[in-house]
Order: sequence, then C-alpha cells, then structure tokens
Amino acid sequence: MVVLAASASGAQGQVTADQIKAAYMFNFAKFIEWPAEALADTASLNFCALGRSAAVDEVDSLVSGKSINNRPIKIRHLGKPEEIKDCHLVFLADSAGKQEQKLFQAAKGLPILLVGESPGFAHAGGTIGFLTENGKVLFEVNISSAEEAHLKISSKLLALARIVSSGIARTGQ
Amino acid sequence: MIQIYFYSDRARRVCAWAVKGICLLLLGVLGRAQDQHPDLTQLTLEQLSKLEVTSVSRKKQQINDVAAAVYVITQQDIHSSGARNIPDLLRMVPGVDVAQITAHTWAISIRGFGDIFTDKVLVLIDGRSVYTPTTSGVYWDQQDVPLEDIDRIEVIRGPGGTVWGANAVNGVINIITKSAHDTQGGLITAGAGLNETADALLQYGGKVRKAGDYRVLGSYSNSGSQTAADGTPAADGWHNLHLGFRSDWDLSKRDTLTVQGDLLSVSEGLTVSTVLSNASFQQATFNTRVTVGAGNLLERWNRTLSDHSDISLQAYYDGYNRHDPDVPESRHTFDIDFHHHLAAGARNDIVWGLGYRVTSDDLRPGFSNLYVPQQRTDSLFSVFLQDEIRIINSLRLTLGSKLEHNAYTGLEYEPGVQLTWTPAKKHALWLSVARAIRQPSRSDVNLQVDVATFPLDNGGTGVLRITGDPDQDRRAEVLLSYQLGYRAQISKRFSFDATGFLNRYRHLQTQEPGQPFAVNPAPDMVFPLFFDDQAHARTYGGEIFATWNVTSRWRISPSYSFIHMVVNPDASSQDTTVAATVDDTPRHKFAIRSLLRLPHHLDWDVALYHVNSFLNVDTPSYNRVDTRLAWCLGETTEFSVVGQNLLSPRHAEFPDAFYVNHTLVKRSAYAKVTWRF
Repeated sequence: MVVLAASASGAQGQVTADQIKAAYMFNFAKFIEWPAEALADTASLNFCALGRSAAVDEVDSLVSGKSINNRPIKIRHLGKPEEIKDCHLVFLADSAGKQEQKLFQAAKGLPILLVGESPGFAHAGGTIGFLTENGKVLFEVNISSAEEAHLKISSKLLALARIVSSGIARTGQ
Repeated sequence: MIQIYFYSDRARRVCAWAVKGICLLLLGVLGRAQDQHPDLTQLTLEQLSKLEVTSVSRKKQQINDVAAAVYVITQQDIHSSGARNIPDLLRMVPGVDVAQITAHTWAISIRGFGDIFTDKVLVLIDGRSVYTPTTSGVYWDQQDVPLEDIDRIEVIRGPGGTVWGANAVNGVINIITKSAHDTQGGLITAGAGLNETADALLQYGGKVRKAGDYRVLGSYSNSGSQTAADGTPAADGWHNLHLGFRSDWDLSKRDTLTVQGDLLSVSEGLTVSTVLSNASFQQATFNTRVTVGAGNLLERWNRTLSDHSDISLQAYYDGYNRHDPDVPESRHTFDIDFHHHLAAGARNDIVWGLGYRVTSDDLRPGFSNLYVPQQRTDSLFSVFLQDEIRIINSLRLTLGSKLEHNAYTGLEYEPGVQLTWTPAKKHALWLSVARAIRQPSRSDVNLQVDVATFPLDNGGTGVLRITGDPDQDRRAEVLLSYQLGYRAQISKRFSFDATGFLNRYRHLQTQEPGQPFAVNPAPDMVFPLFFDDQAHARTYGGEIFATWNVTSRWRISPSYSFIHMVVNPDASSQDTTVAATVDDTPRHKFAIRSLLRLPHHLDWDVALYHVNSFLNVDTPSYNRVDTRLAWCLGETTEFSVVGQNLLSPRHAEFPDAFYVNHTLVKRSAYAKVTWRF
C-alpha cells in the first residue's frame, strides 16, 4: 500500500537515485569494451549483483530483457564474491559493503567491471563508484582499476565521470 | 505516477494518440503499467547526469506487487470513455456500483451497500477527503474535476482503514489531478448535445519565472432533466460553474510545494416526497430547487530528506453551503496531515503519519427534519504506522495500523496484515486481513425526521418519526475483511487480475421501534423509530478483469464482478427493514470495453455494461452501451461524438432514495471539440 499512500500526496514526475544508477549501469555496458576473451564463450552480457538494495531491484526491472550490441543482458544474484567468474559487470550493493575487499581479491586480473554504491568505492579500488551530490547522481571512474581489468572505456563515458586513480587498485588494501 | 519532465511537452498534444498511441498501448501490455518506472535507458548519459533525484528510493513498487485489489483509471481510459463526469467514469471499475438516481445524484458504492449516501466508501480528491460527516456520504453534485486534468483515479476495493482511516470501509476512490507542470498552455473544450447537454472549459497553464508552474480554469456544465418514473418529464436539470487553480513549485532541490483551490456554484432541481411536519402532517410531492456554494484550498509540501527518506505536510480547508429547502446545511472543515516515508535498511519500507481534522456544521431544519443539536464542531485525531518487510525476495509482509480518536465513539483502531508472494516475475499472489470502521455520522446520531404518515382508525394521523440515538451510545460499524488476489501477465498481450473477498460487518444501523405517543392536537400519534447499531452482515464475492491487446491498435478490457449479501438484525434488535438493504445492490456486473485506433487519426471506443439482478422490483436488470468516435486534426484539435445509454430510451438504475424521487436515465448524445494551444 506504500505506493498508493505516497501517491495520495500527489507525488508526480519523480525519479529515484536508484533508477538513475540502474540506467547508468546500462549505459556503462554500452560505452565500455571488454577484452575479446571475456565475450568469447558466452552469448550474453552477464550483470551480477552482490547483495540486495533498491538499486539492485531497479537494475532487475530496468535492464532485464534488454540487449547491448545484440547481446542479451542476463542478471544474476550472487551470494559470495567467489562466484563472479563468469560475470562481465558486478554491482556491489550498499548492504554488502563489507565484502568490498573480498570482491577486489576475487576480481584480481579478471576482465570484470566493478560497480559500487558505497562511499569511496572507486577510491578503494572499484572501477566505478556512484555518489549523490546536490540531488544528482554522479559516478567516479578509477582508471587504473579499469586498465588492470583490460577494459576500454569510451571517452564519452570518461567525459562525464570524475576520474580517480589509485596506484593501489585491486591490491586489496 | 512516475514521469519525466521533458515528456510533458509532448503531453500537450491532444492527439498524443496519433504519435504515442502505439507506445501507450504497448505500455498497457505490461499489465496496467502506467504507474511503473519510465524507461530511463532511453536517455543519454548527459541527460542522466542532469536528472534530479526527487523522491525516496522505493523497493520495486509496481502495481503488480501491491497487496490490495486496485484498479487504476488511466488518462487513456478517461479520454476514450466519453464520460462527462466522475460517476460515469467509475462505471468501468469492477466491484464499483454506479447507479444514477437523478440527473445530479448517484449511489456509488464498492462491494455493496449502495445508497444515495453510501457511507462505506472514502473518496479523495488530491488527498482532500470529500465525504460529508453529515451522512458519511458524498455529494457528487459538489465534486467537479475537469476530466482533462485528471492524471489517474486509483480505486481500491476493500478496507483502507490502515492508511486512510475511518470511512474507508469498503474501499477508497482516490482522484489525482495532473501537476501544473503537465498542463501548460491553453486548453479550450466545448460540447453540446441532446437533452440540453452543454459543457465548456477554459484553461490556461503557465510558468512563474523559474520557480513553478500554474494553471487556472473556468468551466461550466449544464444537463437537462431526465424522465420521471411515470414517463413524464422530471424537474432535475442542473448546471454548475467551477473556477479553479493549481500551482506546483520547486522550492529547492529537495522541496516541492503544491497549492490548489476551487470555487464551485451549483444549481439543481429536485422532486421530493416528504412529510410536512406542520400541524396536519401532510405528505406531499413537489419540485424544489437546490443551490450550492462550495470552495476549498489545499497545500501540500514534500521534502526529500535523503535518498531513503521523505516527508510530506498537507493542509486544507473545505467549505460548502447547501441551500436546500429540505436539507439545508453548511459545513467548514480544516485538516492537517503529516507523513514520513522511509526505507529502513534493505528490507523495511516504513510509512507513518499524524493527522488532525476539525469540522464544524450548521444543519438547519428542513420540511420534515431537524438535527439536535443544530450546530456541532467535531475533531478527529489520527496516527498510523505501516511497515512493508521483504522477508525474502519473493515474499513481502506488510503490517500496519491506524489509531483514531473521533468525537462519537472515542478511540478506534484499524489494523491490517498483507502478504504478497511473487513466485515468478509476472505472477503475484496476495492475501490481506484487515479491520476497518465507520464512525457514526450526524444523521446517525442527531437526526429527527418524519418519514411517513398513515391514517389511524380513530380518524387521526399516525406519523413515523426517526429520532436519532437518544442514548448517544452508538458504536462504530466494524468490518473484518479477508481478501485473496492473483495477478498475472500471461503473455506480452494479455494480463488479468482476480480478487475474492469475504466481509463480516457488525454494528450496522438498525431502526428500533419505540413507544408511540400522542401529539397535540389529538388524535394524532407519533410512532418513533430510534437509530441503533444492532445488525450484522456477511458478504462475499469477487472481481476479475483482464486486458487483452488484440493488436497494437485494438485493446479489449472485459471485467466481471459478483457479490452475495446477507444482512440480518441481531437477536436483540426489533428492526424489520435492515434485511432489505440487499435489494439495492446488483448481484452481478459485467462490462467489456473496446479501444480501437483506426486509420486517418480516428479513435473508436465502445463500452457495454450489464448490471444484473437487483432484488428490488423497481429496478430491473439493465444493459447500457456507451460509445465514442473521435477525430484528430493535426496536433492541436480533436472532435468527438459520444452516445450514452444507446440501448434503450430510458431505464432506472436505482429506486427512490429517502426523500428523493428517482428519475430514469435517458439515451443521450453529444459532440465536443477540444483545442490546445
């Protein structure tokens, strides 16, 4: 009944931060090139989510059934960082923030785009981290992390990003 | 419900259909998807980076997940129905009975108990409650919302007491108007038709620098008299004049404010049958004229506290004055409501709120009735809390309760429990157990009215007189409702929604006979009846509706509802009439609507209704056909022709109601032109 309770107040024309994050992730996949071997043995683009949050729900409904470059997007929900082997994009939900370091360990050397919504995610070694500022959702890109995963990020994406570079990308520190 | 600002320019086009028609139809394929997220994947990165976040993160709150029997009347439904007023719009909703009593009065109810003053349904317009505490009913002739300004109407069948409070016993009808952002520019509509039908709307929406948007409107509507039950012309024609405005402001990145108001003037004719409570107690039938002046002013302030929390504060004033020789009344109401919505952790979605309402009335004596006391000011305090818990991904449990203190029965509570199970993406099963109450109205407790006279064998006149509730110990009516529902999207083109319910009512109103006494001058005698609360009822039934997109240009929406009602006096009661309450509720209702996009910018929409089996002999089962043919000229103009009640020249939908003589609904037609600039 919450939908209808809120709608009694006539809330209209409103977008949530999590819907924007989900739409961003769809766009990330459009503007990022994975190395050939990551895409070779599967016909789909695998989005994996670690943990649950409203953003994960939004990704579920917004992105499923869509395709990028003729690759259908498949969504999987993981319980542990060790399961990320076949993923192209891994999203770490805020509620699973404690698994951040384990995720970086598990992803070392793998061609996986790591996206997170916890504060400082990109600084700590993730590839892209979301932040909300002045009511707008922005994202930070850690280019060392992207290089280590052999991901090519289009300049169109970088133009709108805040660039972060940590020399300690993915060392789990 | 969730729209993106830059779509609103396109919404200006009358013929949104011509271009977006296919998109809208396909959106509908997703099972009444109008309340779902916009497709943000269509935006560019730059557009995404400029989007402002303005509301709390919700869990995936689609209509599919709601644990309630909901039906949403969309803008598309409103546009294609050809309805001229809100009661006619509500006919399409399964489970809702709309019976026109006269040209300007309707008995609108959900799941039974329909009456000229249906007292078990809560009706809201933009959060403002429009039921009157005089009778717990709604004066539909005082509610005028231009149909072009309605964003949607959400109809919830079943108790809404937990969130909405007293009077939401059998359901809630929530009329939500468009934001001023979405009604920019000029709009003129003019229509005329058979039976003195005439409508006109003049509206303009503009901006106030960068701070906000507004719209102002003036509308006029006239309807001629219908036919009396004996075939002669009735005297119930009416007209109304409405001036209104709405403004929506972005005060800051986190704050929005809405201010809106209306002034309404109504004039209508009526044929009444009443006892004239003078020395000779005559019964008479004659025509009268009623005029109404009404106004309201409402503000609503929303503030986003964080990504996970927002609050809203709403306050409104509502006043009306009915110059009705038979039931003259005036009422002023002031209401203030606070809501806080927050997402607590990953699993809990909580809403809680506080409310205060004060209403003050002056119910002056009429031909046969008076209220004791004539004036009264009552307060209502309420607090509610609801938590939606995601137990596992596919299972949600909602617990909540409202606690109210009203001026008649004191403290009342309305708890509810709902469970939603979504075993697969496009299937949802839900069940609900809830308690709702109806607080007594002024008429239940303070009314004295002479309802009938009859000759006595001693030559005098006997008068049947209802004498309120002298002990003032009236209890609130209580409903305990069990519901089960299932929604499924079977394929890209077909979806359906089914609900079953079992309702148990206690403390329903009865009339208990008292000791007759003589009045001066003898030999007249009064036979008193006292209102009391000693009846109970059990109803069960169900509603099912489906949406079938036959092609991308043709949609069919069938629906069916049925109800079985039994009402009985308690063992301690001496009432003899309450069991006949069931006579005025139709037992089955079937409806089917077809929306067809033809080439050359033509729309053809047809609706067929079959309302079956009133037990009341005055109102036989009837069929009704409404149809609309519309033609778009360019992007600014639309012509339409509407026929209503095409199947028979006239039919009755409801019997006489209290003092009001019912009239027959006539076959009618009208033409309308809409111009946007």
